[in-house]
Amino acid sequence: MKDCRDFEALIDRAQTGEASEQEQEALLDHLESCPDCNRFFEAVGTLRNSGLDAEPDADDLLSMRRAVLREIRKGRGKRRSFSLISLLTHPVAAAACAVLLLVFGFLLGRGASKIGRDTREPQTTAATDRFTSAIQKVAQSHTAYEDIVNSPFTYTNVRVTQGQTGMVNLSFDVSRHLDLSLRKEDPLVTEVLVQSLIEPSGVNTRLNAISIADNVPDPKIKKSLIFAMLGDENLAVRMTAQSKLIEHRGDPEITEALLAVLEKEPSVRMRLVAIDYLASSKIQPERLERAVRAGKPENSDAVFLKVSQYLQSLN
Amino acid sequence: MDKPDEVLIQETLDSRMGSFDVLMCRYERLVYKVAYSFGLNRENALDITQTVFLKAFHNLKTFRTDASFKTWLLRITYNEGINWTRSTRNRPELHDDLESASATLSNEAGQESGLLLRERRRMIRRGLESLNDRYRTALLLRYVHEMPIREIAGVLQCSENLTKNILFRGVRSLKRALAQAG
Repeated sequence: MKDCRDFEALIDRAQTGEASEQEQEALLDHLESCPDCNRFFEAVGTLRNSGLDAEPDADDLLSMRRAVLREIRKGRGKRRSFSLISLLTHPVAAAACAVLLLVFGFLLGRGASKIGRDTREPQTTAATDRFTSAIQKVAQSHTAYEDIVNSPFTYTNVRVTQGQTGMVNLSFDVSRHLDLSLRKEDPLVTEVLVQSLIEPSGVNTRLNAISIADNVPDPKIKKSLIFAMLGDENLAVRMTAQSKLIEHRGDPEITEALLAVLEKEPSVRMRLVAIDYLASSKIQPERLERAVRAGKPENSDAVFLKVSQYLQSLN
Repeated sequence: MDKPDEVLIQETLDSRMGSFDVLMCRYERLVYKVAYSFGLNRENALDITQTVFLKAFHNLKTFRTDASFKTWLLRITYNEGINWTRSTRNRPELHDDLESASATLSNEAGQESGLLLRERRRMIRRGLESLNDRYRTALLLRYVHEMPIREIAGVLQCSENLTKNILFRGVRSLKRALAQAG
Protein backbone atom coordinates (compact mmCIF):
# COMPACT_ATOMS: atom_id res chain seq x y z
CA MET A 1 0.00 0.00 0.00
CA LYS A 2 1.48 3.28 -1.10
CA ASP A 3 1.46 6.25 1.26
CA CYS A 4 1.48 9.98 0.50
CA ARG A 5 5.27 10.09 0.39
CA ASP A 6 5.31 7.58 -2.50
CA PHE A 7 2.74 9.70 -4.30
CA GLU A 8 4.85 12.81 -3.82
CA ALA A 9 7.59 11.11 -5.85
CA LEU A 10 4.98 10.06 -8.38
CA ILE A 11 3.57 13.59 -8.63
CA ASP A 12 7.09 14.82 -9.41
CA ARG A 13 7.42 12.31 -12.25
CA ALA A 14 3.86 12.81 -13.49
CA GLN A 15 4.28 16.59 -13.66
CA THR A 16 7.42 16.27 -15.74
CA GLY A 17 5.91 13.62 -18.02
CA GLU A 18 8.02 10.74 -16.72
CA ALA A 19 5.23 8.58 -15.16
CA SER A 20 3.81 5.53 -16.95
CA GLU A 21 0.09 5.30 -17.78
CA GLN A 22 -0.42 2.78 -14.98
CA GLU A 23 1.29 5.08 -12.48
CA GLN A 24 -0.81 8.01 -13.65
CA GLU A 25 -4.00 6.02 -13.07
CA ALA A 26 -2.88 5.04 -9.57
CA LEU A 27 -2.08 8.66 -8.87
CA LEU A 28 -5.49 9.85 -10.06
CA ASP A 29 -7.19 7.28 -7.77
CA HIS A 30 -5.15 8.54 -4.83
CA LEU A 31 -5.83 12.20 -5.61
CA GLU A 32 -9.57 11.57 -5.47
CA SER A 33 -9.32 10.33 -1.89
CA CYS A 34 -6.51 12.57 -0.55
CA PRO A 35 -7.23 16.33 -0.33
CA ASP A 36 -3.66 17.03 0.83
CA CYS A 37 -1.99 15.47 -2.22
CA ASN A 38 -4.71 16.88 -4.43
CA ARG A 39 -3.92 20.37 -3.16
CA PHE A 40 -0.25 19.85 -3.83
CA PHE A 41 -0.86 18.37 -7.29
CA GLU A 42 -2.94 21.41 -8.20
CA ALA A 43 -0.29 23.72 -6.75
CA VAL A 44 2.44 22.17 -8.87
CA GLY A 45 0.16 22.39 -11.88
CA THR A 46 -0.47 26.06 -11.16
CA LEU A 47 3.27 26.59 -10.65
CA ARG A 48 3.88 25.05 -14.06
CA ASN A 49 1.29 27.29 -15.69
CA SER A 50 2.06 30.37 -13.65
CA GLY A 51 3.82 32.25 -16.41
CA LEU A 52 7.02 32.15 -14.34
CA ASP A 53 8.64 30.07 -17.05
CA ALA A 54 8.36 32.96 -19.50
CA GLU A 55 11.52 33.06 -21.60
CA PRO A 56 13.59 36.18 -21.09
CA ASP A 57 13.24 38.78 -23.80
CA ALA A 58 16.08 38.62 -26.38
CA ASP A 59 16.49 42.41 -26.29
CA ASP A 60 16.75 42.35 -22.48
CA LEU A 61 19.51 39.77 -22.70
CA LEU A 62 21.34 41.72 -25.40
CA SER A 63 21.22 44.86 -23.23
CA MET A 64 22.45 42.83 -20.27
CA ARG A 65 25.44 41.51 -22.29
CA ARG A 66 26.25 44.99 -23.55
CA ALA A 67 26.19 46.30 -20.00
CA VAL A 68 28.53 43.52 -18.86
CA LEU A 69 31.00 44.17 -21.69
CA ARG A 70 30.85 47.89 -21.05
CA GLU A 71 31.53 47.38 -17.35
CA ILE A 72 34.50 45.14 -18.19
CA ARG A 73 35.90 47.67 -20.65
CA LYS A 74 35.51 50.47 -18.12
CA GLY A 75 37.39 48.43 -15.53
CA ARG A 76 40.21 47.83 -17.99
CA GLY A 77 40.69 51.44 -18.94
CA LYS A 78 41.80 54.20 -16.64
CA ARG A 79 39.41 54.44 -13.76
CA ARG A 80 37.67 57.78 -13.76
CA SER A 81 35.96 59.58 -10.98
CA PHE A 82 32.23 59.42 -11.57
CA SER A 83 31.05 61.82 -8.89
CA LEU A 84 28.11 63.93 -9.99
CA ILE A 85 30.14 67.14 -9.81
CA SER A 86 33.02 65.81 -11.88
CA LEU A 87 30.51 64.36 -14.34
CA LEU A 88 28.73 67.66 -14.77
CA THR A 89 31.94 69.65 -15.03
CA HIS A 90 33.34 67.33 -17.73
CA PRO A 91 32.76 69.28 -20.98
CA VAL A 92 31.85 66.25 -23.10
CA ALA A 93 29.53 64.79 -20.48
CA ALA A 94 27.96 68.18 -19.88
CA ALA A 95 27.32 68.64 -23.61
CA ALA A 96 25.89 65.13 -23.84
CA CYS A 97 23.66 65.78 -20.82
CA ALA A 98 22.43 69.04 -22.33
CA VAL A 99 21.57 67.36 -25.62
CA LEU A 100 19.98 64.46 -23.79
CA LEU A 101 17.83 66.85 -21.80
CA LEU A 102 16.80 68.57 -25.03
CA VAL A 103 15.93 65.23 -26.66
CA PHE A 104 14.09 64.08 -23.53
CA GLY A 105 12.18 67.36 -23.32
CA PHE A 106 11.32 67.15 -26.96
CA LEU A 107 10.11 63.57 -26.69
CA LEU A 108 8.17 64.42 -23.52
CA GLY A 109 6.56 67.34 -25.33
CA ARG A 110 5.61 65.10 -28.19
CA GLY A 111 4.18 62.52 -25.78
CA ALA A 112 2.16 65.16 -23.95
CA SER A 113 0.87 66.70 -27.14
CA LYS A 114 -0.34 63.29 -28.25
CA ILE A 115 -2.79 63.00 -25.35
CA GLY A 116 -6.29 63.06 -26.78
CA ARG A 117 -5.02 62.50 -30.29
CA ASP A 118 -4.64 59.40 -32.41
CA THR A 119 -1.40 57.85 -31.16
CA ARG A 120 -1.00 56.02 -34.45
CA GLU A 121 -0.12 59.29 -36.13
CA PRO A 122 2.98 58.65 -38.26
CA GLN A 123 6.23 60.21 -37.13
CA THR A 124 6.89 63.27 -39.14
CA THR A 125 10.05 63.71 -41.16
CA ALA A 126 10.74 66.88 -39.22
CA ALA A 127 10.66 65.01 -35.92
CA THR A 128 13.01 62.35 -37.28
CA ASP A 129 15.35 65.06 -38.59
CA ARG A 130 15.41 66.75 -35.20
CA PHE A 131 16.10 63.47 -33.46
CA THR A 132 18.88 62.65 -35.96
CA SER A 133 20.35 66.07 -35.45
CA ALA A 134 20.30 65.54 -31.64
CA ILE A 135 22.20 62.25 -31.80
CA GLN A 136 24.62 63.76 -34.32
CA LYS A 137 25.37 66.51 -31.79
CA VAL A 138 26.06 63.91 -29.11
CA ALA A 139 28.33 62.03 -31.54
CA GLN A 140 30.12 65.28 -32.37
CA SER A 141 30.81 65.90 -28.68
CA HIS A 142 32.61 62.54 -28.45
CA THR A 143 36.21 63.47 -29.07
CA ALA A 144 37.81 60.33 -27.60
CA TYR A 145 37.25 56.60 -27.99
CA GLU A 146 36.31 56.38 -24.29
CA ASP A 147 33.49 58.87 -24.90
CA ILE A 148 31.96 56.49 -27.43
CA VAL A 149 32.44 53.55 -25.05
CA ASN A 150 30.48 55.49 -22.44
CA SER A 151 28.00 57.01 -24.88
CA PRO A 152 24.45 57.52 -23.58
CA PHE A 153 23.19 56.05 -26.87
CA THR A 154 23.68 52.49 -28.02
CA TYR A 155 22.95 51.58 -31.60
CA THR A 156 21.44 48.17 -32.24
CA ASN A 157 20.42 46.19 -35.34
CA VAL A 158 23.08 48.10 -37.23
CA ARG A 159 23.43 47.72 -41.00
CA VAL A 160 26.14 49.70 -42.67
CA THR A 161 26.89 49.79 -46.39
CA GLN A 162 28.93 51.89 -48.77
CA GLY A 163 26.77 54.54 -50.41
CA GLN A 164 27.43 56.81 -53.38
CA THR A 165 30.76 58.63 -53.54
CA GLY A 166 31.79 59.71 -50.08
CA MET A 167 28.54 58.52 -48.49
CA VAL A 168 27.66 55.74 -46.07
CA ASN A 169 24.22 54.19 -45.63
CA LEU A 170 23.35 53.53 -42.01
CA SER A 171 20.37 51.66 -40.66
CA PHE A 172 19.99 51.21 -36.89
CA ASP A 173 17.73 51.37 -33.87
CA VAL A 174 18.24 53.96 -31.16
CA SER A 175 14.93 54.39 -29.33
CA ARG A 176 13.46 54.39 -32.88
CA HIS A 177 14.55 52.96 -36.21
CA LEU A 178 16.55 55.23 -38.48
CA ASP A 179 17.71 54.86 -42.09
CA LEU A 180 20.27 57.50 -42.97
CA SER A 181 22.68 58.33 -45.72
CA LEU A 182 25.53 60.42 -44.34
CA ARG A 183 28.95 61.62 -45.42
CA LYS A 184 31.76 59.33 -44.32
CA GLU A 185 33.31 62.00 -42.13
CA ASP A 186 30.06 62.60 -40.20
CA PRO A 187 30.71 62.00 -36.46
CA LEU A 188 27.59 59.82 -36.29
CA VAL A 189 29.11 57.47 -38.90
CA THR A 190 32.25 57.16 -36.75
CA GLU A 191 30.11 56.63 -33.64
CA VAL A 192 28.06 53.83 -35.23
CA LEU A 193 31.12 52.18 -36.84
CA VAL A 194 33.02 52.18 -33.54
CA GLN A 195 30.04 50.81 -31.63
CA SER A 196 29.53 48.08 -34.26
CA LEU A 197 33.06 46.88 -33.56
CA ILE A 198 33.09 47.06 -29.79
CA GLU A 199 29.52 46.05 -28.95
CA PRO A 200 27.91 42.67 -29.75
CA SER A 201 26.79 42.74 -33.39
CA GLY A 202 26.58 40.40 -36.39
CA VAL A 203 29.76 39.23 -38.15
CA ASN A 204 28.65 40.81 -41.43
CA THR A 205 28.00 44.12 -39.70
CA ARG A 206 31.48 44.05 -38.17
CA LEU A 207 33.13 43.13 -41.50
CA ASN A 208 31.21 45.88 -43.31
CA ALA A 209 32.12 48.38 -40.61
CA ILE A 210 35.82 47.54 -41.02
CA SER A 211 35.68 47.83 -44.80
CA ILE A 212 34.12 51.29 -44.50
CA ALA A 213 36.32 52.47 -41.61
CA ASP A 214 39.15 53.66 -43.83
CA ASN A 215 40.03 56.69 -41.73
CA VAL A 216 42.51 54.76 -39.58
CA PRO A 217 44.39 57.84 -38.31
CA ASP A 218 41.18 58.82 -36.46
CA PRO A 219 42.06 57.65 -32.92
CA LYS A 220 38.51 56.43 -32.25
CA ILE A 221 38.40 54.28 -35.39
CA LYS A 222 41.94 53.07 -34.79
CA LYS A 223 41.18 51.98 -31.21
CA SER A 224 38.04 50.14 -32.24
CA LEU A 225 39.95 48.35 -35.02
CA ILE A 226 42.65 47.38 -32.51
CA PHE A 227 39.88 46.18 -30.18
CA ALA A 228 38.47 44.03 -33.02
CA MET A 229 41.91 42.72 -34.06
CA LEU A 230 42.76 41.66 -30.51
CA GLY A 231 39.34 40.99 -29.07
CA ASP A 232 36.95 39.64 -31.69
CA GLU A 233 36.08 35.97 -31.44
CA ASN A 234 35.77 35.65 -35.23
CA LEU A 235 39.03 35.09 -37.11
CA ALA A 236 37.77 36.77 -40.31
CA VAL A 237 36.97 39.94 -38.34
CA ARG A 238 40.36 39.92 -36.60
CA MET A 239 42.19 39.41 -39.90
CA THR A 240 40.22 42.12 -41.71
CA ALA A 241 40.85 44.57 -38.87
CA GLN A 242 44.54 43.73 -38.98
CA SER A 243 44.76 44.22 -42.75
CA LYS A 244 43.12 47.64 -42.33
CA LEU A 245 45.49 48.66 -39.53
CA ILE A 246 48.73 47.63 -41.26
CA GLU A 247 47.98 50.07 -44.07
CA HIS A 248 49.05 52.73 -41.58
CA ARG A 249 52.80 52.26 -41.14
CA GLY A 250 54.92 53.38 -38.22
CA ASP A 251 52.11 54.07 -35.76
CA PRO A 252 53.31 53.35 -32.18
CA GLU A 253 49.85 52.26 -31.00
CA ILE A 254 49.45 49.82 -33.90
CA THR A 255 53.01 48.57 -33.28
CA GLU A 256 52.12 47.75 -29.65
CA ALA A 257 48.92 46.03 -30.75
CA LEU A 258 50.80 43.89 -33.28
CA LEU A 259 53.27 42.84 -30.58
CA ALA A 260 50.20 41.71 -28.61
CA VAL A 261 49.09 39.75 -31.71
CA LEU A 262 52.42 37.91 -31.64
CA GLU A 263 51.89 37.07 -27.99
CA LYS A 264 48.23 36.12 -28.00
CA GLU A 265 46.95 35.35 -31.50
CA PRO A 266 46.63 31.64 -32.40
CA SER A 267 46.44 32.32 -36.17
CA VAL A 268 49.86 31.77 -37.78
CA ARG A 269 48.94 33.95 -40.72
CA MET A 270 48.13 36.93 -38.51
CA ARG A 271 51.39 36.49 -36.62
CA LEU A 272 53.37 36.40 -39.90
CA VAL A 273 51.66 39.58 -41.07
CA ALA A 274 52.48 41.19 -37.71
CA ILE A 275 56.18 40.27 -38.13
CA ASP A 276 56.23 41.86 -41.60
CA TYR A 277 54.79 45.09 -40.22
CA LEU A 278 57.06 45.19 -37.17
CA ALA A 279 60.16 44.42 -39.25
CA SER A 280 59.36 47.18 -41.70
CA SER A 281 58.77 49.54 -38.74
CA LYS A 282 62.34 48.79 -37.59
CA ILE A 283 61.25 47.57 -34.19
CA GLN A 284 63.97 46.64 -31.71
CA PRO A 285 64.90 43.00 -32.45
CA GLU A 286 64.82 42.08 -28.74
CA ARG A 287 61.21 43.20 -28.39
CA LEU A 288 60.19 41.23 -31.45
CA GLU A 289 61.99 38.13 -30.22
CA ARG A 290 60.48 38.46 -26.75
CA ALA A 291 56.94 38.76 -28.14
CA VAL A 292 57.37 35.72 -30.41
CA ARG A 293 58.74 33.62 -27.54
CA ALA A 294 55.83 34.65 -25.30
CA GLY A 295 53.37 33.61 -28.02
CA LYS A 296 51.40 30.43 -28.65
CA PRO A 297 53.73 27.47 -29.13
CA GLU A 298 51.30 25.65 -31.44
CA ASN A 299 52.19 25.69 -35.15
CA SER A 300 54.86 28.29 -34.57
CA ASP A 301 57.59 26.86 -36.85
CA ALA A 302 56.83 29.31 -39.65
CA VAL A 303 56.73 32.18 -37.16
CA PHE A 304 60.12 31.28 -35.63
CA LEU A 305 61.60 30.80 -39.11
CA LYS A 306 60.41 34.22 -40.26
CA VAL A 307 61.74 35.96 -37.17
CA SER A 308 65.12 34.24 -37.39
CA GLN A 309 65.38 35.19 -41.09
CA TYR A 310 64.66 38.81 -40.15
CA LEU A 311 67.15 38.79 -37.29
CA GLN A 312 69.83 37.26 -39.53
CA SER A 313 69.20 39.95 -42.14
CA LEU A 314 70.06 42.57 -39.51
CA ASN A 315 73.51 41.08 -38.87
CA MET B 1 31.14 24.17 -35.45
CA ASP B 2 30.69 25.83 -32.05
CA LYS B 3 33.87 26.35 -30.10
CA PRO B 4 34.05 24.40 -26.83
CA ASP B 5 33.83 26.36 -23.57
CA GLU B 6 37.50 25.84 -22.69
CA VAL B 7 38.64 27.42 -25.98
CA LEU B 8 36.35 30.42 -25.45
CA ILE B 9 37.62 30.76 -21.87
CA GLN B 10 41.24 30.73 -23.01
CA GLU B 11 40.46 33.31 -25.69
CA THR B 12 38.75 35.50 -23.09
CA LEU B 13 41.81 35.24 -20.86
CA ASP B 14 43.80 36.35 -23.91
CA SER B 15 41.66 39.54 -23.90
CA ARG B 16 39.30 38.42 -26.66
CA MET B 17 36.07 39.92 -25.37
CA GLY B 18 34.01 38.62 -28.27
CA SER B 19 34.61 35.12 -26.93
CA PHE B 20 33.21 36.07 -23.55
CA ASP B 21 30.14 37.41 -25.36
CA VAL B 22 29.73 33.97 -27.00
CA LEU B 23 29.97 32.33 -23.56
CA MET B 24 27.33 34.71 -22.22
CA CYS B 25 25.05 33.96 -25.19
CA ARG B 26 25.46 30.26 -24.50
CA TYR B 27 24.45 30.38 -20.83
CA GLU B 28 22.42 33.57 -20.35
CA ARG B 29 19.02 31.82 -20.42
CA LEU B 30 20.07 29.18 -17.93
CA VAL B 31 21.60 31.75 -15.56
CA TYR B 32 18.49 33.92 -15.95
CA LYS B 33 16.22 31.01 -14.95
CA VAL B 34 18.18 30.32 -11.78
CA ALA B 35 18.40 34.06 -11.05
CA TYR B 36 14.62 34.27 -11.48
CA SER B 37 14.07 31.78 -8.68
CA PHE B 38 15.72 34.33 -6.36
CA GLY B 39 14.69 37.63 -7.91
CA LEU B 40 11.13 36.56 -8.69
CA ASN B 41 10.69 39.20 -11.37
CA ARG B 42 12.26 40.17 -14.68
CA GLU B 43 14.27 43.21 -13.53
CA ASN B 44 15.72 41.46 -10.50
CA ALA B 45 16.57 38.37 -12.55
CA LEU B 46 18.38 40.51 -15.15
CA ASP B 47 20.27 42.37 -12.40
CA ILE B 48 21.43 39.13 -10.83
CA THR B 49 22.34 37.68 -14.25
CA GLN B 50 24.47 40.73 -15.06
CA THR B 51 26.30 40.52 -11.71
CA VAL B 52 26.89 36.80 -12.23
CA PHE B 53 28.58 37.31 -15.61
CA LEU B 54 30.71 40.16 -14.26
CA LYS B 55 31.83 37.99 -11.34
CA ALA B 56 32.47 35.08 -13.70
CA PHE B 57 34.66 37.30 -15.88
CA HIS B 58 36.66 38.69 -12.96
CA ASN B 59 37.21 35.22 -11.51
CA LEU B 60 37.82 33.43 -14.80
CA LYS B 61 41.51 33.01 -13.97
CA THR B 62 40.57 30.87 -10.99
CA PHE B 63 38.42 28.53 -13.07
CA ARG B 64 39.97 25.07 -13.38
CA THR B 65 39.79 23.99 -17.01
CA ASP B 66 39.19 20.34 -16.03
CA ALA B 67 35.90 21.36 -14.39
CA SER B 68 32.57 22.15 -16.09
CA PHE B 69 32.14 25.84 -16.86
CA LYS B 70 28.37 25.45 -16.75
CA THR B 71 28.43 24.01 -13.22
CA TRP B 72 30.91 26.69 -12.11
CA LEU B 73 28.67 29.40 -13.53
CA LEU B 74 25.58 27.92 -11.88
CA ARG B 75 27.39 27.89 -8.54
CA ILE B 76 28.20 31.58 -8.91
CA THR B 77 24.55 32.19 -9.79
CA TYR B 78 23.28 30.32 -6.75
CA ASN B 79 25.72 32.09 -4.40
CA GLU B 80 24.87 35.44 -5.94
CA GLY B 81 21.15 34.65 -5.57
CA ILE B 82 21.68 33.85 -1.87
CA ASN B 83 23.62 37.12 -1.39
CA TRP B 84 20.88 38.97 -3.20
CA THR B 85 18.04 37.65 -1.03
CA ARG B 86 20.08 38.15 2.15
CA SER B 87 20.29 41.84 1.61
CA THR B 88 17.09 43.04 3.30
CA ARG B 89 16.27 45.69 0.74
CA ASN B 90 16.21 43.06 -2.01
CA ARG B 91 14.12 40.50 -0.17
CA PRO B 92 11.37 39.48 -2.59
CA GLU B 93 8.05 40.75 -1.36
CA LEU B 94 5.82 41.10 -4.36
CA HIS B 95 5.67 38.70 -7.19
CA ASP B 96 5.24 41.29 -9.94
CA ASP B 97 5.32 39.01 -12.94
CA LEU B 98 2.95 36.55 -11.33
CA GLU B 99 0.58 39.39 -10.51
CA SER B 100 0.60 40.72 -14.06
CA ALA B 101 0.28 37.22 -15.53
CA SER B 102 -2.72 36.64 -13.28
CA ALA B 103 -4.28 39.95 -14.25
CA THR B 104 -3.96 39.15 -17.95
CA LEU B 105 -5.37 35.70 -17.45
CA SER B 106 -8.28 36.94 -15.38
CA ASN B 107 -9.28 39.16 -18.29
CA GLU B 108 -8.99 36.30 -20.74
CA ALA B 109 -10.62 33.52 -18.78
CA GLY B 110 -13.75 35.24 -17.53
CA GLN B 111 -14.04 37.22 -14.35
CA GLU B 112 -15.07 34.52 -11.89
CA SER B 113 -12.65 31.77 -12.87
CA GLY B 114 -10.01 34.44 -13.36
CA LEU B 115 -10.46 35.63 -9.81
CA LEU B 116 -10.22 32.09 -8.46
CA LEU B 117 -7.06 31.46 -10.45
CA ARG B 118 -5.61 34.75 -9.31
CA GLU B 119 -6.33 33.88 -5.70
CA ARG B 120 -4.73 30.47 -6.07
CA ARG B 121 -1.65 32.00 -7.65
CA ARG B 122 -1.41 34.55 -4.88
CA MET B 123 -1.45 31.70 -2.40
CA ILE B 124 1.30 29.94 -4.31
CA ARG B 125 3.34 33.13 -4.39
CA ARG B 126 3.04 33.49 -0.64
CA GLY B 127 3.83 29.82 -0.18
CA LEU B 128 6.96 30.16 -2.32
CA GLU B 129 8.08 33.28 -0.51
CA SER B 130 7.75 31.51 2.83
CA LEU B 131 10.16 28.74 1.73
CA ASN B 132 13.90 28.91 2.27
CA ASP B 133 16.16 29.64 -0.70
CA ARG B 134 17.08 26.01 -1.37
CA TYR B 135 13.51 24.71 -1.37
CA ARG B 136 12.21 27.59 -3.48
CA THR B 137 15.03 27.30 -6.02
CA ALA B 138 14.63 23.53 -6.28
CA LEU B 139 10.86 23.74 -6.75
CA LEU B 140 10.99 26.48 -9.37
CA LEU B 141 13.81 24.89 -11.34
CA ARG B 142 12.08 21.51 -11.31
CA TYR B 143 8.43 22.37 -11.84
CA VAL B 144 8.57 25.69 -13.65
CA HIS B 145 11.74 25.36 -15.70
CA GLU B 146 11.69 21.53 -15.91
CA MET B 147 15.38 21.27 -15.21
CA PRO B 148 16.72 17.71 -14.75
CA ILE B 149 17.59 16.65 -11.18
CA ARG B 150 21.28 16.39 -12.18
CA GLU B 151 21.44 20.05 -13.18
CA ILE B 152 19.53 21.19 -10.11
CA ALA B 153 22.09 19.27 -8.04
CA GLY B 154 24.79 21.32 -9.79
CA VAL B 155 23.01 24.54 -8.87
CA LEU B 156 22.45 23.55 -5.24
CA GLN B 157 25.98 22.15 -4.99
CA CYS B 158 24.89 18.79 -3.59
CA SER B 159 24.33 15.19 -4.69
CA GLU B 160 21.38 14.09 -6.80
CA ASN B 161 19.95 12.11 -3.87
CA LEU B 162 20.12 15.11 -1.58
CA THR B 163 18.50 17.20 -4.33
CA LYS B 164 15.56 14.77 -4.48
CA ASN B 165 15.32 15.03 -0.72
CA ILE B 166 15.34 18.83 -0.85
CA LEU B 167 12.68 18.69 -3.54
CA PHE B 168 10.39 16.46 -1.47
CA ARG B 169 10.91 18.56 1.63
CA GLY B 170 10.22 21.66 -0.43
CA VAL B 171 7.06 20.01 -1.72
CA ARG B 172 5.92 19.21 1.80
CA SER B 173 6.71 22.71 3.04
CA LEU B 174 4.77 24.24 0.16
CA LYS B 175 1.90 21.85 0.80
CA ARG B 176 1.86 22.87 4.46
CA ALA B 177 1.97 26.54 3.57
CA LEU B 178 -0.90 26.09 1.11
CA ALA B 179 -2.96 24.11 3.63
CA GLN B 180 -2.49 26.87 6.24
CA ALA B 181 -3.46 29.54 3.74
CA GLY B 182 -6.42 27.65 2.37
